[in-house]
Amino acid sequence: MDKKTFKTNRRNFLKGSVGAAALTMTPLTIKTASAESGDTSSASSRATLSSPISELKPNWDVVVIGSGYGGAVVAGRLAEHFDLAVLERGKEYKAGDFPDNFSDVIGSVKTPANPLGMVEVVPGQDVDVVQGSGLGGTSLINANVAIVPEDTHFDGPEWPPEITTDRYNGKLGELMMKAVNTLEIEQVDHTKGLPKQRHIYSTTNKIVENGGTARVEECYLTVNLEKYDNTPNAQGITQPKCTFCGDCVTGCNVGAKNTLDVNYLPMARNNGAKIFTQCEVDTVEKTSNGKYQVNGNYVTDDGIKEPFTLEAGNVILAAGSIGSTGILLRSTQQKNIPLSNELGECFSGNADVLGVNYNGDVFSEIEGHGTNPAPAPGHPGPTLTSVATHNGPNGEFIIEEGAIPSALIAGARLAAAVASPGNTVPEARRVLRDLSLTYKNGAMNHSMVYLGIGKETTQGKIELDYHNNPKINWPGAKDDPTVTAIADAMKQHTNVFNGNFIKNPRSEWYGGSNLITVHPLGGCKVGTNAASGVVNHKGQCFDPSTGGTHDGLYVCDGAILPGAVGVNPFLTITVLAERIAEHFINDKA
Amino acid sequence: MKKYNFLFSLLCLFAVSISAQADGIRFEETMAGYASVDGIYRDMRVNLNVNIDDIDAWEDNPNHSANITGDMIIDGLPTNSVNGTLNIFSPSTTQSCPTGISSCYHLVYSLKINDGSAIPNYFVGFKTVSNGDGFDIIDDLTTLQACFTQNPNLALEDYLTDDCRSTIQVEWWKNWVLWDFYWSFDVYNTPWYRLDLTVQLKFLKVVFGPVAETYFDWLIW
Repeated sequence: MDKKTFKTNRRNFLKGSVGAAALTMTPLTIKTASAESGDTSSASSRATLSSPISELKPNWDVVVIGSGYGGAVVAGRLAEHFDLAVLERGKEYKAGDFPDNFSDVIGSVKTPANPLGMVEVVPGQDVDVVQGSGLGGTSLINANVAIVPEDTHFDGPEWPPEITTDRYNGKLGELMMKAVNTLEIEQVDHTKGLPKQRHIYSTTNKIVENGGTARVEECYLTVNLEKYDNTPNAQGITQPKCTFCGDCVTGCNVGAKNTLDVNYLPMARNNGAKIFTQCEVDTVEKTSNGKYQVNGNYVTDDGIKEPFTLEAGNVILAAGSIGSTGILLRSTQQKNIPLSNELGECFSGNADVLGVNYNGDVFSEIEGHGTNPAPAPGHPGPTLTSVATHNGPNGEFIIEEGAIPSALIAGARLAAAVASPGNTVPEARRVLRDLSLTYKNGAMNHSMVYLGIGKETTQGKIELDYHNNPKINWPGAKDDPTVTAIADAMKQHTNVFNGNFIKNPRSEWYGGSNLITVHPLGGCKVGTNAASGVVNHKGQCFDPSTGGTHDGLYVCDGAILPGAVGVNPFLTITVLAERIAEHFINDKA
Repeated sequence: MKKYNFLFSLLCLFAVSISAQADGIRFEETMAGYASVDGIYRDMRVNLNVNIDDIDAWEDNPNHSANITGDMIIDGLPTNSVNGTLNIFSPSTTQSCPTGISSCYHLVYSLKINDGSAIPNYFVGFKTVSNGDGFDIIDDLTTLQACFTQNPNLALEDYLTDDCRSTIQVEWWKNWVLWDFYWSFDVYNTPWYRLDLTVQLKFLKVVFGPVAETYFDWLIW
């Protein structure tokens, strides 16, 4: 293979320095939704964070692979102490770049022909994974829900005692506040009257009145609801307020989402880190001088892969559960890095269950309107705003209400109508309104999208397929008792207003019966030694050949979780990343 | 001559009495749907007795109200009696008309809830009658978009805000609802020579006229 090795010479160095200086001094013209539409009233604007590939040096103190909730956090904290590069496989996106119609959504799916797509679907035999690919990782397309896990979450035997101790001595709480302050979370008050929020409050209330056990509350969100009004945030990024358009999960074209490219990544950049996009890492190998060689491909805008290698004293894998595990699996198989036999084990989909309470009696207003004016009378609000908590077979599980982004409305209307055309005159009339594409008060706006999250009683495994791509192997995942309990609870919510329950689209509309998870976790779980985990409590990879750890090889993302979190996991991942960053600085700075 | 004077006086008296008499009509209306109370949607049903003492005055004078009494049943809450008024031809605003309809009028219900509260609670709402065609014209006519409030004079467009959101409807697709509605009509306060059916048709023409003109323009209205 003709590998392209980046070398630093005086010319490149100067070129890079001047480029960087110019970047900080020259105001950039940013493409935004409002700029395109001629509306200058609200849109976020920020400078480009990523550097040109020509600035990628061959040697670094620290290379962080991935820019999601693990990578962005460690990069943000470590940048002021180390010569650090962030390698992100996807592109950099700004407000206005995200898809706002169905064909653009299809065009944003990452495929071999479209390697820079923003949405990656990893199909599996039993579980499909949907995750983000771009600067900021899944924060680009998540629903912003920041929930603290159960108090006892870090108490189990699967956690190293150091982390459990940190829970009791208040350290984790301190790190949680640090994460919350950086991510800047806010809350939508349900008394403001969002119909979809009122909907889940009502169904939960009815379940309780009927003797069930449940509670409902507002979520904290990483969305700029009120804090900044076209003013700079803590990292100097100007942010407009959320317009309650409901398009969070296809990417925020307003710029109000507190994605990682408006907090931790600018922090990294401001502290001297270099961020490189379109750099997909394949393997990591140990060099004779005790460092690590990172092997990967730079993917051009045309999709052409140009191989690169670079060397680093420390490599922090933060490519997500599947990405990091895949890199380590390839590295141990192809580059002979000795790693724990636990690598790939303990995969969890966080018991994610998607369901739709379709075409009930009550107006729910879940259809997003994107950057278009809100049709009267109101707004759907951020994608997820409230959560109902139930008791399940493996602790509590939650059900969150959701909105449908504007780009997916037509497809969702059609698919749901095919699945459940309506049994009564009012139901059929609402379906017809939907299919006419002209009415707002149709079946879909009398529906509710649910995302259920819990802790499975079983776990899957990440393996490499014959193309050396990671795949999920988890026979029986869809029959897990927690998954069943979540689906049953969704049916209870659905029955309150006479809706029709539609299980996740994969099983209802085109077969397969697979679960879909947007929260892949595990694969490189923490442990106390190589027999019980892949990394220690500091994120360092165990070396079973020595009984110690690989000095300088880390994993820092959802892959290190030993199982499901039971709530949206990014806050937990962020806290653990903050903890890893602190230890890294204490050990190496 | 005296005989003719007497007959003439009798005729005048008869004419005066005819002109003094009006076409009155009573009927029962049941609507079901959901209420939005304290941020919670609950199943709801109202059974109303509507009493229009003079259809012509009711049609011509927005301040001439029909009287309503009835019951309000909300799931999980005590049943309360209600009383209030029904007005027609309230001036509509473009905000309160359905999307795409520039002109419409409303049947405005204002009900006081007799729940013993020191500050009275009201259930106010409107149905919409538009003369445009469209898929929703029957639903608009039979659906009450309503609000629980302590302000009985709430502006019409405020009935549609997120803070309101109660929606109940005459379930016109159920045979028994239409049957009960039809047989509940009772004409009163009407000259003896006028057939009940005539008054009923007058009422239907007032309320459903624009709809019927749209869908049955071959009929003479």
